[in-house]
Amino acid sequence: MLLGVVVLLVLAVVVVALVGWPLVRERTAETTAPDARRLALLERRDAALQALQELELDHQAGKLTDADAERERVTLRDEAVAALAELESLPPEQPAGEPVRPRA
Amino acid sequence: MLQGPMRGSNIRLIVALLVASTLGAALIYSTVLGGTIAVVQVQQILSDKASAGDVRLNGTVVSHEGDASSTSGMRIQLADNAAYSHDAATARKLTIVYHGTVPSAFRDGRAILIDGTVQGNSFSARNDSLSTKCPSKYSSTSVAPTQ
Amino acid sequence: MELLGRGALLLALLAAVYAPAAAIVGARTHDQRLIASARRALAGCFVCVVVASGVLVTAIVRHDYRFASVANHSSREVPEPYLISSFWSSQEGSLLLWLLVLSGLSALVTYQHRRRSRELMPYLVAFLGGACAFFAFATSFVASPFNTVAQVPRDGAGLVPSLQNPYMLIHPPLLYLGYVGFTVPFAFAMAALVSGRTDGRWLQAVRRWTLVPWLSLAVGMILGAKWAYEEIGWGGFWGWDPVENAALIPWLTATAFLHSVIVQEKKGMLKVWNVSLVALTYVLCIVGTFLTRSGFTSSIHTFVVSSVGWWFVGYIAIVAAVAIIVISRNLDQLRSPHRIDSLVSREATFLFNNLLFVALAFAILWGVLFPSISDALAGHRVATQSPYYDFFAVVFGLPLLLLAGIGPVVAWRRSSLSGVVQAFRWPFASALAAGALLVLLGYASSVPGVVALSLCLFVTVTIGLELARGTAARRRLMPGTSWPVALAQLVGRNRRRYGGYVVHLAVMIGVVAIVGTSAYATSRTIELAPGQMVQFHGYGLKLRGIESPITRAYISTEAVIDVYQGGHRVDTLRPSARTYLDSGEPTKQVAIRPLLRTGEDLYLVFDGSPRPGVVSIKAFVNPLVNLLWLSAIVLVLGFAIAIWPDPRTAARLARRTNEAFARAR
Repeated sequence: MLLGVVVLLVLAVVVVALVGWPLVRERTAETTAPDARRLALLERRDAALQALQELELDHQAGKLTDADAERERVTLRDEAVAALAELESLPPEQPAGEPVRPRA
Repeated sequence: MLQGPMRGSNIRLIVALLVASTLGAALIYSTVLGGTIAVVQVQQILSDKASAGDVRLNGTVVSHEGDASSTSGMRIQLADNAAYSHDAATARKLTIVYHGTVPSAFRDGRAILIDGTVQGNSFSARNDSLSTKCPSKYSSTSVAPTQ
Repeated sequence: MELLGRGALLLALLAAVYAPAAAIVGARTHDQRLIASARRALAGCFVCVVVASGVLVTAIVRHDYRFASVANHSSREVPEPYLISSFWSSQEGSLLLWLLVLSGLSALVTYQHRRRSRELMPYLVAFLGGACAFFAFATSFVASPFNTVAQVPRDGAGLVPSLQNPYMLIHPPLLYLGYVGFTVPFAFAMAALVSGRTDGRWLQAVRRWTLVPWLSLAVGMILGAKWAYEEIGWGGFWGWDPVENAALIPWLTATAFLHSVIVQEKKGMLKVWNVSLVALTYVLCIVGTFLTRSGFTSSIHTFVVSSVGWWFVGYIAIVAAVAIIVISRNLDQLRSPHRIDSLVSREATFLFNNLLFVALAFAILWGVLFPSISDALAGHRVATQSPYYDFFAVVFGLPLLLLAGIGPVVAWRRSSLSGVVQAFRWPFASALAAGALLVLLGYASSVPGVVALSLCLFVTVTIGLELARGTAARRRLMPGTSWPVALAQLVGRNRRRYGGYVVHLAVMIGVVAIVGTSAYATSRTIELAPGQMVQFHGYGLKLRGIESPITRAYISTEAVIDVYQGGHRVDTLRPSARTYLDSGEPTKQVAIRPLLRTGEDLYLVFDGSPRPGVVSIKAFVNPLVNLLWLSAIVLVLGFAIAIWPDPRTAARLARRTNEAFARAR
């Protein structure tokens, strides 16, 4: 019984310390979130570029005729170019914040 | 969702029709074409309230004798689940004769399901249709908690 | 001990309630300290639940029968390896296990994403904390594993002997990892919508965190099937019982999601559909666990009509309402600029496959719920029989098999019809040839069986050709590369795609096993007198005698049967019936002889003694059944390939995020 009470008290102290620790720190300046619009355009760009790579693989594997492949190539290039153009029209970005490390 | 020859509303129509036809097929199959079987309790047969025909009987085994693999079969005394849990000694019993495979968990005091045909207030069991309900999965079997 | 257990659970509840509250306030006031504190509260909740679990485990191991959950589900006779399964055998213990897995996953996920998903974090903590709070409340006040008994028994009621099986050590925790694991993608999806951060990062996280519970449910179901096959002794492994269906239904919708999320990643389409699937999968997990605890459905398993069921109804209603509100209020974030251009495209194939998966899930769910609905509305209790489920499995399953072969071959956006016809020449020819051969060999007794097996070959040939064409293309790009190296590079550069193909192969292997046993199994009840031999399906069965071994745990009646093939004795099998001494519980020990060459099993069940000295044996030959267990191994291999981290994908995502990052002034 006594052991149970002691363990419970220790547990409570540990949890309170764990939860309370960030609150006793000084409030830090908030890092700005990634620009959602810019991120969406970058995704569009990357999706188009990756689709071009897959298109070449599919074409070489014989899934597309030459005509279909060329038509798709043009469409995807236009999409990538459009995304890049919109990116360039955005206001200049601020100095980068805390960089995100690649984590697969 | 489709441009060109097919407009967006067409694919939504196809999706809606597929969903509706699935549900419709499910309803028709389960209610009309025999995808389901009526489940009756022992009490319904004893009081002549069960409709005649193919049913799945649910009851608790009070006692059993004989071998289901023999020509004379196994005689099982079945009680209504509710009556058995209320008072096993006084619960009215229905005697059925069963032939076929007996599941491994079959024993006195266990609930079973068995398929067969109701005729009046008697029950004719179908061979190899006995299944035993597993012991209660999430309840106290013998020791009740106080709090 | 009771005080420690109850106190730890109460602390867990307090931490779980604090977490979402602090997270929301922190988000509103832009106070990172509060958000960090909220995230740590989830870790604190996990620590408390670990302590509570430790108390229960200690009570089980020490045979402390003051606790009702221990007294009713363990005993001194239960062998030590199986004692631990007493933890989750009770309602209360299983809820505690759910909370343990949930709080652990919540702490892990929020820690992993504390930097790369800052904007999502408050809402992620809120949704996960809310789920933890519900289960902490349930284990603290509704179904506490630390409820005590009035009179402490000398020994517990024991664990049902059929549960004393190695598969029962693994099967429930895997299923729980599956059910609970779907909380994470749900929380991510809701958090992404509420925070307005529906970019690629949440999608990658959701996909990863869906794959793990998806695999857990799949392997958990296969292990459950193996347990049923070896322990229950009816010759089969799946009975469409509501408890089984409760795992299958969310697995089907999760499988649909894993396909359609690819369309969203590549084409930015089906966003509303995907987020709805994620929410639906989680709701179906909770519905499934409600069904197995509430006594709502009629099942081969008995369930007490427990008050915990009503709490689950409330939780389901809240989760469903929150999901509907969050999705409908954020539809503008989910609009797609793209459309499906052609029915002969991979997008269209995935859409059709999704519709079939969801339709099958709902058909099965309807079969599970219909008896209760019929009882409630018409006072007429019914049971849904296997033919209902078999019908829909065939109606939706066969087209799904066909699409599994079509999908890899068609290109994104649009494939030319002539190109597709060209690509399917050999697969179709193989399927037709297989079908014709099966008919000639006399397997036409099951038309769906012939069609399914032919389609399995169609898919296998398609995947084989895909690998061959891809490898050949790679060798053309890099002349001088050998075939094995080119193949390894091909798979390495697109692990998701080719891991997915291996998973498809696993499914084909599983389907072949299921078709083999369900369509072509044979059985017969055989009476054997000593020295008598009976021929059954190519095997000679001869009763050598009856033995009655007695051990400390049980008494047994064994039929000693010599198995002959081609005139030679190849094995001796001992199907038996046992009665366990402590509980009086009867069981049957099935005797199985696998034949690796054909994948079939000779399966014998002791069915009693109709006359002195004579035994009745139910004999089965189950063709191809062992392929089902093999499919689980191939499934894990495919999963490992698909989920193996690709540094290039991670670098691409990080580069994109860094490019978009801005620091506040």
